Amino acid sequence: MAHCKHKNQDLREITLEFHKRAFGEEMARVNFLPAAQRRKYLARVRARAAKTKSLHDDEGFLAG
Amino acid sequence: MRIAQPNIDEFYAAISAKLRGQEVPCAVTGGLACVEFGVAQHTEDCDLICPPEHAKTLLQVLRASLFGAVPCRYRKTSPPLDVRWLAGGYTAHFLWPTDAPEKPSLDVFGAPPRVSTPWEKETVGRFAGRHTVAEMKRTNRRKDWDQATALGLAMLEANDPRGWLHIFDATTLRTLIKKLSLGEEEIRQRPVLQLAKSSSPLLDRAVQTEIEFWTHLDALRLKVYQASHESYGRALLKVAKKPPTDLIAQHQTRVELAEKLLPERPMQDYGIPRLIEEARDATAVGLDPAILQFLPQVASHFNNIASIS
Repeated sequence: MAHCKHKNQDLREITLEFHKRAFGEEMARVNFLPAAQRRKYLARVRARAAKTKSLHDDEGFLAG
Repeated sequence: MRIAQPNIDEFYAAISAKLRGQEVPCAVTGGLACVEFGVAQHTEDCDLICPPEHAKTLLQVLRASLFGAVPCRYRKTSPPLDVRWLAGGYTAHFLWPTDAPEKPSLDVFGAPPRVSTPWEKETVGRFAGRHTVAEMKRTNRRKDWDQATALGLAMLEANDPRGWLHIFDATTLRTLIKKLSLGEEEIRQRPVLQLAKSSSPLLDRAVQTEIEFWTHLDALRLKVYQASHESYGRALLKVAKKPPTDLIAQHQTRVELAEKLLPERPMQDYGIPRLIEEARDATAVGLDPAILQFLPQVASHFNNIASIS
């Protein structure tokens, strides 16, 4: 049992290390959140991106 | 009056629920499944696997699924959502052209590319299993390879030894091999793992070569479909300058054109062994032939297309 727990911990560390290297520190943190919190984070990012896009659209409209 | 927009995740979940309510097996794959399995990415698009024989039911469900007040429509030159073309490996594309910041978009796979095992048996809730999602991630897009590796690691954490088949990072493979046992079956399916086991200095090069091989395979596959789609796409753009607003009418137009211009089985017509050989040849350019012996056998990844009679 202890061996199994140790193995899982090792695997967790290897996984975290890979996520940091592949996706960066912030996304690695997000990836290790529970699924519901991860979805919330992404929804916030999408909302922020949409807001930025609409601001840029307005600027385009004014400039045109 | 402004109609409140639903949450896009809930919208896709409702489509899956409607299908399952009508006994249609289906599974969300791609980016949304990755998010579920701990690999976050920004995507609004939903990739859905649905058996080709349920195309008619799916079309009716899409017709009845409004996003806010906006109905579903086909993307510009999408093949029809019809058993004949879905079974041949085409993807049907849909969107809901809303003014809202979130625009739902749905891609439907009848014969999901590279999937070598029955996906229906491994679904997790409304999502395809990690193994299915990871196999589909062996594409010609660079970013997909890290996602496949992350899914492979998640599979190993869940005690699924097939996770070894999806780890495309040599550094991670080297670390893992010191901590976890590796089975003969995984080595048989993926010869490169032998190099990890024997601490070979060839490992990095061999993993890169594997990625390159799958990348060529995907690019060549897409080329076959693009070539077979060309006449149909052009004809569709001509007749559909003002496409009908109703999804079923859009569908009829597509089926009529597809029957004349869209080959049903382009991959079989081209030849799967030929495609694999071309991918091997493209990978071999400038490479030590010793590395090529570690490439996997990939014919089984085309079984869901090859089995069409």
